[in-house]
Amino acid sequence: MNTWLWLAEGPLFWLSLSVFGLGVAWKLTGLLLLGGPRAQPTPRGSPAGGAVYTILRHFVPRRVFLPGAGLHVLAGYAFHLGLFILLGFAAPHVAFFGERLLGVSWPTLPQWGFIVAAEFAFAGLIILWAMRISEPIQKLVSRPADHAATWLTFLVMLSGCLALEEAHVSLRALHMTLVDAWLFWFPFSPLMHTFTFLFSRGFTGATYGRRGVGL
Amino acid sequence: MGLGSGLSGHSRTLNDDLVVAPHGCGALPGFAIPVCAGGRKSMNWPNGELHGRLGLLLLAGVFLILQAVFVPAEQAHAQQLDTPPNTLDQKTGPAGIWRDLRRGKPARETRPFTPPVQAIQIEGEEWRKVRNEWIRPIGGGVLLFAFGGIILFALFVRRVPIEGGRSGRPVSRFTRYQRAVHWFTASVFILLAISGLILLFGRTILIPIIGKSAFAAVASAAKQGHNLFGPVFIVALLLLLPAFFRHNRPFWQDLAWLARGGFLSRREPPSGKFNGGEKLWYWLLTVFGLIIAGSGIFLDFPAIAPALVYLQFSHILHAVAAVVLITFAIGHAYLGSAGVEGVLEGMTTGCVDENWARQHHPLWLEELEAKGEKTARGCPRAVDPDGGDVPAAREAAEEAAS
Repeated sequence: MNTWLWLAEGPLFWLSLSVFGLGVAWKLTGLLLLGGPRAQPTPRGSPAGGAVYTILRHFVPRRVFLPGAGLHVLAGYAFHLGLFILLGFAAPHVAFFGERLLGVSWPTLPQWGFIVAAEFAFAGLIILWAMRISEPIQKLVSRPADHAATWLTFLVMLSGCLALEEAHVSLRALHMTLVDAWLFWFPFSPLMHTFTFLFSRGFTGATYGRRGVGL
Repeated sequence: MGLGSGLSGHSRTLNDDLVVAPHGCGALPGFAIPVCAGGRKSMNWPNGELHGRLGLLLLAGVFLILQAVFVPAEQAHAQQLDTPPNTLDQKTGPAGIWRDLRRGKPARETRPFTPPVQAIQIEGEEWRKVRNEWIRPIGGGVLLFAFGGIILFALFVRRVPIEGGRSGRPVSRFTRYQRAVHWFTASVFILLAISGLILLFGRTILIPIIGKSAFAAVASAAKQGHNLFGPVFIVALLLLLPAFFRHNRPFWQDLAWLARGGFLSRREPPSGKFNGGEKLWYWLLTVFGLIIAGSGIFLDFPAIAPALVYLQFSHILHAVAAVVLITFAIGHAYLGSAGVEGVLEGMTTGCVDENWARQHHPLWLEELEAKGEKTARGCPRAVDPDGGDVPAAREAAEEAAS
């Protein structure tokens, strides 16, 4: 096996996966240990109900925001769903998970399905980034880490698609190296929103649910 | 690319496994395009063959054009198929047979009851010549010329300044949607241009630098990337063109703007929201972009091409249109950023300085003022992004301080 690929799929992958797992666990545990306010008046509604409601409700944009945010919402869904499908059901990924991580396999996407998912994911991500650089408010609230997270995710996806022919070891090694970098940086980056969106939405929903207000 | 390898059995040509029906028409398995004895030809898409294929609607228009172009060639093929059995000269030996095959002479297969077929698709050689002897050198020269032009512009004109400096009063120019689809299209275009140029010129330029082995990986990556981003570009184009159509309708004043040298003339001719150069770019993008999209669908999904010659013609169209667009895109990118002061912020913030608008697009500014539509809504504070002095902003700040 090519040395680069061996490194990227072997020691480097296990190291970055460990950092990813431990880092995410550390951060989420820290968030949970923060807890809520100690002295609380008697709830007027259900905090748990409010949390669940808000987590689900915020998946659908409010009508009043749609005229301005329609493209943003569509692009967001295209990217996230496309990426999820690619990550979970692309044949090379399923094979990798099955052989290296989980020991089980599941049905994979046909080639055309992979391509359609990739088209959606790329279109969504590029539109989201285009809005980030061209919308004054988004530009203002975007930190360098946000741009870096976008670009790193884009490069991971791009290198994966460039290796689609599976004929060149170097392309696979490049993809795996970028995956390693992505996993390594994940817990310390805005990519953590993959998990923290549940906490932020849940906390807001619980707060208002306790007050008997539906968000 | 494989478009030139027209050996029977390796590519889908009209010669592949031709089946002759009793009524005298041959049909290609998988394509079912009957080719009839008298040169008559009809199109019947097989049930389910194309159903569900991406971009079928887009294809229809391009397909009709290609159909009209290629019907004579197809008829010629059909006539060849009617040629009496084996015309190959067996006496000349393997060299003679090979020479005849390369000239496109039909040959009988060893299987019984099969008509003579054309074993080599000789148009592939024509395509190869056009690509290697015309498109590559001329396209490369045109692109070098564009880069040279930009370098000369940067050396001698440097940057077109805002006359009288910035006013500090922003004017809203592009909507959020327009900016988003512009950068979306630009990003995809850049990816496609880089991968496309690697595919067209990589063999000549990159092999001497990185070697054959590395180039094989680079070319494979470029091909995969190009095929993947092609359909995304079509989506981007379909979002972009309507978003900018309204102010890009051509007028006589645009020709005057171009004829007088645009903003390189001593006194820039007045223009509306978009000047003649910008409109020229828009319409080039429309025409050549759609050509690229249509031909790209054939190249990305070769199974829908009825014959190899469609792919070869599509490839030539695709490459020529791409070289034209990349050439103009180089100019557009330079003049839309470093070449003209104050222009880029229109596409990054959505707003431009009023003095910039008065200098380059006075008719548009007058129209906005007349309609009462001049607004700075959503514009950032009047700050020069280059760190320069903004008199109005400074005065406003001084007034506020006093």
